[in-house]
Amino acid sequence: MAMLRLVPAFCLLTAFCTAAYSGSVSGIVVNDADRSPVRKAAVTITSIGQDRSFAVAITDGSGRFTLPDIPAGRYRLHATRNGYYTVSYGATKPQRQGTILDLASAEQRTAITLHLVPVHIVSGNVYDAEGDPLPGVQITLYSRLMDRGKPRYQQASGAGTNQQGHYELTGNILPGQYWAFAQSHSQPALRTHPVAITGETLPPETLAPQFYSHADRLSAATPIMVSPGSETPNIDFQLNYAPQLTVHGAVSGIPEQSRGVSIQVQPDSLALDQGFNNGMINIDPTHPNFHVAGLVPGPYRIVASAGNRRTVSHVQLSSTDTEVNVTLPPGTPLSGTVTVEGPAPASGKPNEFRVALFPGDGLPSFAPVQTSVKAGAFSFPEVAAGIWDINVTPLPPGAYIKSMRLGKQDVLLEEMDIGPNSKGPLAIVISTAAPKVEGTLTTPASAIVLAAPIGNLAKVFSFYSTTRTDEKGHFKFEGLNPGAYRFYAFQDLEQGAWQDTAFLTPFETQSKPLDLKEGATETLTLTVIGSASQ
Amino acid sequence: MRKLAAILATGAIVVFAQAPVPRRVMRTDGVTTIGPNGQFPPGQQPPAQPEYSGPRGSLSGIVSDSVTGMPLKKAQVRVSFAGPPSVVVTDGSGSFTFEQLPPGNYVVFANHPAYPPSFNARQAPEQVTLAPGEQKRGLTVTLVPGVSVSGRITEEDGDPLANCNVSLITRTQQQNFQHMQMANTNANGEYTISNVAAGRYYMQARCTAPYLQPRAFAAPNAIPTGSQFAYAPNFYPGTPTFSGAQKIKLTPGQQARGLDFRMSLQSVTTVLVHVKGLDEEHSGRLFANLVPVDSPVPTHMGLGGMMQPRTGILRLPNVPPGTYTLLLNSNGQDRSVIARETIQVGDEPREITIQIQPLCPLSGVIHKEAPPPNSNPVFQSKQPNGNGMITLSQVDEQGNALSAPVAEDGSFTLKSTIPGRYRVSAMGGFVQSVDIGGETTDGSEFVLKQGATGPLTINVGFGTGTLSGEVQLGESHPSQVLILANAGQGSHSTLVSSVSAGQPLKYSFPLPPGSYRVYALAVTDPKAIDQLMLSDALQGRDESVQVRVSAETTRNLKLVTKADFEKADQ
Repeated sequence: MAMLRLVPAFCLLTAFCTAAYSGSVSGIVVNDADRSPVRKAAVTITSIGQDRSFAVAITDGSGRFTLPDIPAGRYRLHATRNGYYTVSYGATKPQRQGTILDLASAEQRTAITLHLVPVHIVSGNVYDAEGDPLPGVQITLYSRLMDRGKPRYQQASGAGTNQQGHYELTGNILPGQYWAFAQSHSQPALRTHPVAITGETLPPETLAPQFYSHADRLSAATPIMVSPGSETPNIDFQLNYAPQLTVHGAVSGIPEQSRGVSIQVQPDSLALDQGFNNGMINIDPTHPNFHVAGLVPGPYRIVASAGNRRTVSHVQLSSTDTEVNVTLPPGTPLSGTVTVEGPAPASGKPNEFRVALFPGDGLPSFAPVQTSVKAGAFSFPEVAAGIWDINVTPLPPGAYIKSMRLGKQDVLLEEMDIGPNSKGPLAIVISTAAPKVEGTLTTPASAIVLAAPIGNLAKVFSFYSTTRTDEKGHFKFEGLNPGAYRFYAFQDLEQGAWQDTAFLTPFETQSKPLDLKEGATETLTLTVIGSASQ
Repeated sequence: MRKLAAILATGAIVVFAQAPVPRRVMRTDGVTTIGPNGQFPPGQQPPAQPEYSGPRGSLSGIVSDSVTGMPLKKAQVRVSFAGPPSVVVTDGSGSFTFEQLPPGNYVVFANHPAYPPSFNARQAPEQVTLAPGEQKRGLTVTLVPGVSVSGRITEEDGDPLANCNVSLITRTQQQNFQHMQMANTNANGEYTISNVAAGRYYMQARCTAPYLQPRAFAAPNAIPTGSQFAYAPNFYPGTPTFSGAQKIKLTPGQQARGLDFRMSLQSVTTVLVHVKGLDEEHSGRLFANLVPVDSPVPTHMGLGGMMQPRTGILRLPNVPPGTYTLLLNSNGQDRSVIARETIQVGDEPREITIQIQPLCPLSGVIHKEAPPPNSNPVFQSKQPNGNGMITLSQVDEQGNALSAPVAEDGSFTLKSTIPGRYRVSAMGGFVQSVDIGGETTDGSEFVLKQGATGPLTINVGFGTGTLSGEVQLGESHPSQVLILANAGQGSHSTLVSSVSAGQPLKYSFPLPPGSYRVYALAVTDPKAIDQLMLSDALQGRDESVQVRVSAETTRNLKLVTKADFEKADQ
């Protein structure tokens, strides 16, 4: 029955008991659509770092808030409200990282404005080919981003149709371009068939999945433009009947002690290495048989994985049931070293790392591939064939991966494509002498600064880096690879937008070039480029 | 009345059942037994059909809405005989035709995606006798429409509340209250629950979104100072406790709009649970549930929390004052309750310590009688359900269950148990009896005592049972009596005709094993039965019956007359 002694405990933990040193943060929350004040919005201020202490204020009838007794420190600030998307202070849109608020001792910060964007609804109806409403159809809305120089689609929102075939999508729908996809799950396709003759058998039918509008593949889909406002209605679908097919088979070559086997059956037409991850099933490794129903004719990719093994099969489905037996080939053993060059940082020379491999080709893998580095050496017993991204953690501030070579291949600048003939060792060199770039904007404002490699390195997407300035326009890069770069400061920038080769060209005149040498510290002043993403 | 007359003409008894057991239609002459999708239930494979070479006939008719009479497009209609059933999908005029049928007794039934299935189980299916070469036209199959309920949820100032949960509550066969259908409010605070079977329901609105209130600057785990609030549960017509709740009556096809809830605040606090003596395996995979004591329905959602890894502390925010059962569950694949304690929560933050006792495992085995030949592989497996797990659901405490993986030979070990009354089910079959430590209990429900170590033997059978007995007619002389066996989620019925005045009426019909509430009704019009089921008049006029696997249960019933119903419903 011990009551908590709250206040003393709080004092001990944070040492911020005396209000004398505390400042405050106040301002207003407005509706981004019409700039009207928003009442009863919650404004949260959270300290950056280990502590994560926070405070909450609720806006009054005129949208105003005050967060009292805030100690000096660095903070993030965000506003939330029923019916609006959460927005961070300094961000131009919801879901964007905001600016750090630097509060001095006893500072009374005022006139902070947070813009809440009302929730957007995309709605429509789904019918069958006979014009009748279809309940239970899953609608998924995808947005596109650039990843490794290619478009990748990620789910923004999803909902099912109701009894009247109507759906409403909310949540994470900001103005921009979207692709909508309709898929009917596990229901028989009802086609009018009013007369049955004894003894006749009808082939089973299903409803073919579809992209908006009337497209059987992503490349033929019509994007939906969501503009500011409350609703994008009439995104309707009419799904076609298609023969209902199944595929089944067995998986062999499962490593001992596998905890599970996963099977993914995906139509090629959905461009599925781009983020569509439906159709994943897990099966028991002691009974590794799979059976997937409800498929429509077409080319499919079947990915089977267990432990660190994985295999990809391609199959054309046209008959009612197709048997596909897959064997998981042993992976390739891969060993390597991590060496550290350069002066020891203040935290001491790092010697313990974790090396992890992530699929770089969008293929699923059952288990994460990672190992720890002891005495500079590591080894992976098995790595499945495919493209893998290499991740080394933790890198101390000011360090960068200077080189990565798999045998003779440079896998820092090129993809690491593992096959049965891949030969190690994977030699990773870390340098503690990364070039440093510090800068300011010509006007004190918040912006996103992009470091874009040029020349030979322009195609190395892992060398691009962004950082957000603080409120006064200061920014800093600490882990860039040496080389020739251009630096851009954008008011707003979509993640990965620069991977479209033509994107940066029009802004080149407003950028600054810098040739970064190992160990050098450069300074830079940039002018903000207005809404580049529009 | 016409359709029932058709049944009587054949002298047949019709039984109509619904999930959780396979829906089936049976006739006491033992000829036809089929499921709704044309599958034969386990144990009753189709007899080999001798090739019929004589003249063939046809059956045709329409499917319509029982309330509006409108024809239904895209209804699935099945006609069943001893062979595989034919299926049609109706056109815009609702019409269906089955051609080239050999003579015999047929059962015709229909379903539609926009009509609730459970409600339609109360209707007797159409049964027709076809003579050689007969062209039978003009059959009518009606489907009873569901209801929809819609409204808006607002907070104390009248602003809409999104992501609140609205549910319809009904009483289960075990006399527990259960949330049957749910919907969440959208950004405008609006909700719609549709395609629900007509009936009498309690309604409840619950808003789990935190009530936004100011918080002084403090560490994330600091317990908030000052009064904390959350939205109180709200039962129709606007009361925070179930004792004040009123049922709403929803008749077939009704679209009840404007069922709005205005949420009010209640004071809440935080409970911190320090867990001591937890083994490595459960550490970090522990969650807590708070179940209000003395509340017939689960009044709150999400009262509980996950353990913060490695801290040994569970933090349960937004707990209203009251008495609770605190259940600590392991969240792994082997789901087990590892501690249980009754706690009192007042207005102030509460901190408690729970010492985990050494876990007491319970081993057992599943025995299945030989499943019917050619049945689903799941029935053949020793494992009770398709997923390789056994789950014991606690009957008296909702949402609480024990589960463990089942080996090939049917053996399993529950890592730990807590005492209580449990139910176990097996896919495709029926739990015949449960034996624990040498004590056998018939049926699927059994009591687990403190410290039980087993072995726990679960016997699964596949045979249906029989319910028979007499109906005491008293002064009334109905020509037909409907025996309705209601299993909560579905019902079975059989129609019997009175032999002569003054004679007791005998009935007998096959039923899947399970517990039922059984009624004898003088009313035989399906629409009247629908109304009857909406009525509280039936409360207390039923017999509670447990039907066993492959056994006959005898029970005499009192007749509920139409006059009884009308009188009681006033």
